[in-house]
Amino acid sequence: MHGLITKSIQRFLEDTYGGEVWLRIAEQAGVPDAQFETMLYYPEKVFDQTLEAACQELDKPSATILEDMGTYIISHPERPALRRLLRFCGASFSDFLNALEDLRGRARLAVPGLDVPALELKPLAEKRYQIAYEWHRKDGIFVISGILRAMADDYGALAFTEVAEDGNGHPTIEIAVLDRAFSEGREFDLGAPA
Amino acid sequence: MTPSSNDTSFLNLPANILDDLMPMHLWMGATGHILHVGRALRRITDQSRVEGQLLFEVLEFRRPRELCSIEEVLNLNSVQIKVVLRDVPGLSLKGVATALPSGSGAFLNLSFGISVQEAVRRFKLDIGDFAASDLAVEMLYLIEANAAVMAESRSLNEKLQQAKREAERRALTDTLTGLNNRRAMDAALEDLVAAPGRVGFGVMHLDLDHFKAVNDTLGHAAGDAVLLKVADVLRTETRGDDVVCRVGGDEFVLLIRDCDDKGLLGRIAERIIGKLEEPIDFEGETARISASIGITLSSFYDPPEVDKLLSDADEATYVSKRSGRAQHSFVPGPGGELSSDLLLAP
Repeated sequence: MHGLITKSIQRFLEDTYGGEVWLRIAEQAGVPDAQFETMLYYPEKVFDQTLEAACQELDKPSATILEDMGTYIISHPERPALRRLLRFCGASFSDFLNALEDLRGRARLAVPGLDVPALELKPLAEKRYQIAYEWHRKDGIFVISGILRAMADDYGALAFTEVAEDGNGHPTIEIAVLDRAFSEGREFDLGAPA
Repeated sequence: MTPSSNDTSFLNLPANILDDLMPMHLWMGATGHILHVGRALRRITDQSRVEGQLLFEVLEFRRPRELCSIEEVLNLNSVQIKVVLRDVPGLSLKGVATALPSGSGAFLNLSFGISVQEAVRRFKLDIGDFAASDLAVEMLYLIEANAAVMAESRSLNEKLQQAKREAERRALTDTLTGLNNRRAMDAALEDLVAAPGRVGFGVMHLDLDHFKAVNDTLGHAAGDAVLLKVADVLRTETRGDDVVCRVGGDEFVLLIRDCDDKGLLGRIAERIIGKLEEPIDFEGETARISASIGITLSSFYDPPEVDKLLSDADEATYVSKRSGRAQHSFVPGPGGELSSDLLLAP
């Protein structure tokens, strides 16, 4: 698993629950030096062990932790890189949703070797969509759900997301966009701060 | 292409659609006045009324060079251009210019090229200022992604470099020769002093002679080659479980286990000196060195102490140096006088 993903869970746990909690989780999970490096690869097992240790330490279901992590990696004010990169996908939240199927390609373009879920938007009814999801692990969908929620917020759209299963047992996200101009949203300046 | 009466080969576009398709266009009429500019270009020119002005009042061609009459512009046929705007210093735009049918004007479509990120910052452009088919936004995305990934890589490299320095600090091996370093020697000597074995051990301190001259006249690469040769000799002339250490630039210490035999240590020292005195070839030049050696034995002391062993061996080396180099000396042993072994030889 790419270090950017393993580092995300570390930063999320550290920033949200504090360094001591992270150290306990990392020790339990056997994370080398209690430190993930973003530019290295890790065995998937280490991520599983970290997630499991976090569930125990925080007494929370893994779905909640993954979804919170998805929200965190977008909305943390001191780590704006990912939020900014995703804002390049579209000028409005609905443009963004329609560009979701490019996400996998965009991730690879940014970081060769970074493997993220394949997503596809399917309209269900007016302002209601289903997002098809495909990846080697099913629980990644919770992270995506958290990301979508945070991005809706970022664009100033009011959206409800719900993780469900389609008729064939594949995980999907159902999303209802209630108001496209719910609030101002966060500013996005196309030119990066120098 | 000649105008045709067939309607389908002509496109009649209102300004707002032109704006969407080509936000950086400039449309010039037959008289050379600007009829319309796209919304992004309007933003760059800072609301100044470019529409209605003459083309050459607003911009200047850099490519093709010397293009400065309206007639020439009215004859351009899909030509690549580079222009600068008179009121916007420091910004150059690239694009294409082509004349419209029957001398009715000309059409320029421009873009920022690789200075897009700077332009976006300077003119506060947003996604809507670029045509959906323009890859400028993707380029901005890549520039930013690249910067973020580079920052991560840099931080990893810094950590790795620091770890390397730390590992070197903790290492027990001299990186050039592969011999034990001073740190390793200290540890080995501590161990030997704590458990000297049945008969004790010998400590040999070796200082190269004339090594500085090799460095000074033949250069440091030659000096390194000499040190590798020395390391080779020292390994060959000792047993596998003896401890050979490089403890300084041209200073070595040998710990000879299970040895209480002055004669044997003296013979080892002489063999080493003999081998070191053989000329060493380096890139067509010849380096010549020798060595001064000082020897002590743990059996001279009760109990042996690390610092004392080393300082005595060092002192004996100094005696060898003073007596003319290229020889070995023993510490005199309990009650004896320190002197060069050669002088004591029968």
